[in-house]
Amino acid sequence: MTQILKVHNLSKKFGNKQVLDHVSFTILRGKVVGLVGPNGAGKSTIMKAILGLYPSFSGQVVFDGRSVKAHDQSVFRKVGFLIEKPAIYPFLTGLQHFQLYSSNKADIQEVIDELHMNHYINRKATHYSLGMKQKLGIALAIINQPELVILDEPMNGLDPQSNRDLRHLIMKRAKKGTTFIVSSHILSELAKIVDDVILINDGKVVLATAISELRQADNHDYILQTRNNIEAKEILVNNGYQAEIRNGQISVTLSASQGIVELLPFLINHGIAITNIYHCQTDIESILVKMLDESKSEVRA
Amino acid sequence: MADILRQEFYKVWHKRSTVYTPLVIFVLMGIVGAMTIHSSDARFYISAGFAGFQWAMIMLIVIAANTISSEFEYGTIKHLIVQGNGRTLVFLAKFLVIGAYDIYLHGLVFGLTLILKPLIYGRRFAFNQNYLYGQSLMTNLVTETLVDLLGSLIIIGMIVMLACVSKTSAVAIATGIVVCFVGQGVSELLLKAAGSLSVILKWNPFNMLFLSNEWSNPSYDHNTLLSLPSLIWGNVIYALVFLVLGYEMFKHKPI
Repeated sequence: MTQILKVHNLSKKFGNKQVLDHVSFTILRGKVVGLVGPNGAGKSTIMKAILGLYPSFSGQVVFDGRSVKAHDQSVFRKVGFLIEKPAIYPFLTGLQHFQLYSSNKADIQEVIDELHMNHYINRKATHYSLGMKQKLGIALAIINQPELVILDEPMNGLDPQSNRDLRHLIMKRAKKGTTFIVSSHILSELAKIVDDVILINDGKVVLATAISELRQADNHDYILQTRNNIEAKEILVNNGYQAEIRNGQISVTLSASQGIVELLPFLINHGIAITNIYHCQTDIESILVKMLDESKSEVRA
Repeated sequence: MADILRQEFYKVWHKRSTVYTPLVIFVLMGIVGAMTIHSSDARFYISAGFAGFQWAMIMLIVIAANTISSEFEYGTIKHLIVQGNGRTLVFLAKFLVIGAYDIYLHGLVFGLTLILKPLIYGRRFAFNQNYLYGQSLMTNLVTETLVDLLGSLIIIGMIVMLACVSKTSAVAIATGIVVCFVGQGVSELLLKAAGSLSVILKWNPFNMLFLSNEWSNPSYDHNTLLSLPSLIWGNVIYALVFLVLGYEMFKHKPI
């Protein structure tokens, strides 16, 4: 898979405040990448810096093999985006917005259909609800078949059905080769669509990894039920396992060198009858929040 | 460039103000015409486009300021810049659209004058009738249209600069209208109070607003202390200075 975007040592100051601090990451073509972080972490600033919207920044942004310079956006003809708020002219209808930016009628109709905008597309945007404006902003980002789409909090104001439409649209376009960078506070929604995740805090990249690796890394918690939980827990703790009794069950966290395949016969050999066992799958949201808390603790330390 | 110009004209075309502007100017010019129906100086009002150029200037100030400020207010400036245009092209396109709108408004006032004159005065004051400087009424009207168009450049430059520096269009609009109506008075007061400094102060930008007056009445040079060619160059140079300053501000305006 080829690289579409490379951000290297990107730094940006507003006055004396360092908002981006040597941010580096690489994005592969066709991937859906989640840009995650708390408010003020620098997500929107990264997105705007990538697009060369600041008169100056330090570091390097390379899009499709070409270096991005401030005041030179010629490299971005194949980029669509929604940053901060939908860029909408209130005096134009939704359809007129499409006509303003595209002359491809088939492409326009496809986007309108995908986002179910038909029933209000001829109304002036000033009469749109928050969700309708958001959908129009997303639609304008994906019109003209861009190679890279940057979406900043696209789920804002969307109802559950629209959220689902958006997820389907992103996954469908990604399959066709479009690359997405998506930021969102709704981590549970984001986790459903992203391939990779970049965790930002205080203007720094805390983590940049594939979501599958993230799941794998947090794949070691099990719950056991036995005929004798107290004795089973004692045996496990005495033999180097991290275990505790919680709500009448034994919670076991395996280390990297410990496996569930060894644990089960080990208990049985000690005469413990196991009545139930299941794997605790921690959701991505919890994993990311945990990692973010850890990074904050490190900064404070 | 062609693409962004098409987009800019598309937006102007779809603004409600574009539809209502000719109607509003027509009504206002009609009112001025009706008020001067028995005036002994009717030919002056005809050659002045029934004060339509003043109304057109107010409209132009509002439209020019909104054309730039609204892009920042709506957040649409990001799209304009990133679509491969860059800030320089966006600024140039904005200026060209405002310039084109200026020409359109002056053409509109000229055209409406041709319609209103027979409606208000009937067959009196024929356009081929002699008026000032041995020229026909029509020649006077054409000259007034062109001189006012030239004089409007300095206002456009100023509005573009103010729109680039302020966060909303309101500041640019308010300042532009005040300058339009009070600017000449301010310049007169300055020159009266200046004494020996008038050699320098006669080049103040407000003094350039007398271009149209001095063209119609050359004795105005006693007030402006500048010849007609000096006023013309002053207008052009100030307009360019304002535009260059506006461009620099536009280039660095936060998005």
